[in-house]
Amino acid sequence: MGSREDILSKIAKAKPVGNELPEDLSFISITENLLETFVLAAQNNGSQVTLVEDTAEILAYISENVAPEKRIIFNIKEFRGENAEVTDQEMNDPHTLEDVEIAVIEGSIGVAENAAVWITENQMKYRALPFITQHLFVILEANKIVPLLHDAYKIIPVEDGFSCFISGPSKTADIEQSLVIGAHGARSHHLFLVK
Amino acid sequence: MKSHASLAEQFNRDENRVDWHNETLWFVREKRDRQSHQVSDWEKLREVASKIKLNVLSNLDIYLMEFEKNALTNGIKVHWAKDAEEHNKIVLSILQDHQVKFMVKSKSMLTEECHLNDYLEKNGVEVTDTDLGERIVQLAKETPSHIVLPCIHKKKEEIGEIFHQYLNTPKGLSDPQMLTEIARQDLRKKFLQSQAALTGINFAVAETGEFVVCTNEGNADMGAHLAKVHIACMGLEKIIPKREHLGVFLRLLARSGTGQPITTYSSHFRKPRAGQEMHIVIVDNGRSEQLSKEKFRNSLKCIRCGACFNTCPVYRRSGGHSYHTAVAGPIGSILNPIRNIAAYKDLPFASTLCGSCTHVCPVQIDLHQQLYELRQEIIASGMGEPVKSFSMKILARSLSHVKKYEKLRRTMKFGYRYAPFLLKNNANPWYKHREMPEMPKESFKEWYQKNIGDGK
Repeated sequence: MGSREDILSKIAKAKPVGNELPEDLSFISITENLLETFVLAAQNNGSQVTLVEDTAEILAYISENVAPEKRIIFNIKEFRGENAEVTDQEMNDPHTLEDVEIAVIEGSIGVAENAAVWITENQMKYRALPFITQHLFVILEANKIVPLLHDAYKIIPVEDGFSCFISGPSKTADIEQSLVIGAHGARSHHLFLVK
Repeated sequence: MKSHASLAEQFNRDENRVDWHNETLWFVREKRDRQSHQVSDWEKLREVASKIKLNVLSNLDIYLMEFEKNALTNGIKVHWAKDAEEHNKIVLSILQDHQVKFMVKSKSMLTEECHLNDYLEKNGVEVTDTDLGERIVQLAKETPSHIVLPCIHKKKEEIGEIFHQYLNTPKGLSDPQMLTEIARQDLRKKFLQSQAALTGINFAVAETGEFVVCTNEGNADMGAHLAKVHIACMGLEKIIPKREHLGVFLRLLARSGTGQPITTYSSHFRKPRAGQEMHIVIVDNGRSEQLSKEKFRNSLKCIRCGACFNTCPVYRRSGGHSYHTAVAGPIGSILNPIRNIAAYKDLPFASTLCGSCTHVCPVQIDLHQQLYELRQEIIASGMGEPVKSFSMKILARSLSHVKKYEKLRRTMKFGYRYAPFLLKNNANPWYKHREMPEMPKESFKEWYQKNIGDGK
């Protein structure tokens, strides 16, 4: 008998009977001030938050704050900044993303209770991008914020491939519980909330 | 023979370190309290999580098959391992198929349980742990002392020394920011040159055939998205029925473990990327046996958050290595003896039975109750410590006979008054870490007869 059958038959003999799934998965949430709750949670996670009127403001922010020689990847169709690289062309090897300074990516849903933003593979284009970049800029429409994680799972589709909730910059507290921002992933996390 | 008590005694020699260890972990426990109090229906969340996990146990084989089917459809290769040895062989054979000489690994306590690193190194594969805490203990040639905070037992100066020794950094560094930056630079090279990446699995969803890996550092993602081969290893209890249940567990996991509302990255892997191979190894290693033990199967609900470690007064004062296992703390003191009671019969006694672990457990495992049950089994099977068993036997005999008890009491009282050193010495195991109680002037029986017994 192979291990698979062996394990499954042992489980079948050992498992308890009963134990239905709980039906009620509703939890208390506050639906007012979602934006404020989200912003506060994001700041507590170590993110920077900027409220903008439209995407042009994000471009202006980048041209003011980022040195022009730095490699920036925009995964947003309408953005075609002068120094920006728009990744329409296919790239096979994620290792070539090694020197990316800033990645600008759209998120689809934000969760107010913990400031996590759902980002799909389509939005990342390259799975490695949000992690290998030195700084991550995430754009989210303010009206896409829901109260709890449960609300997000109700509406995010099960997509192929890879998706991720990202809630802030890469961090660690492995050395004496001192919080250090910038472990292996992005050193900073900048959220642009479009009103 | 290693035992918790003797290993803890070594740890306790440095009193300042014990205090520091205790306070560091209590700090995490307090963060957990603040986070959990912000969720107004926290108790309901725990209750629902527990019910989902119980349902998983009742349908474990069905969910595993559903998961397998969906994962295969998604293009993931699925393997089954009945024990640690088979798990290690499967991982090695995947690596050999691709001629992998170098692999990065994100935190997986299952691979610690299976001693995978040693096995792979012996077979010519260099493994680099990429979680910062795990990397530090790997360089120090130690094992993690905590499942969530692997190098919580190390001071920053010691980490500076390790980096000096192995990463050629200047002597005397101790700034956490600087040390983390050094590790980041060093590990980035490893991520970029690695041909394969191994990760653990926090949750595997039967309904969708996807799995979720939670990290704060992003190390699992750095590894998995750069390597040609991604191997994910899971204990078979990591399965959950539906995607909507992730909302429950992701809210509980980081809040309970580190006191954050969620980890920085909660990555959902459903399909390998183009040109990549993705493997899942489903491991039993004693878990199906555990499922058959009614009293203890509840512990299979564990989501490995580490909350029971941080709150445990014994863990905080004895250090993770005193448990001589991959999973220490209260939950480790259950999981290990269930699988091998002879080797870990000391662990259920590494507890005050205060119930603090049960109180913080996000999936409502009755930890202290199970520790108590295990003690009963160990004593009943004659594996208890001889001194303890002997004194308990004497005590049981005298307590069950009125006359014998009275005689013992009077002798004790006399002896205690005139020769207290007979009890207050290091031969008395009870006295080692405690003050002896004051003897009352009269016993309850004497008092009762004087005050009530006469008057009726």
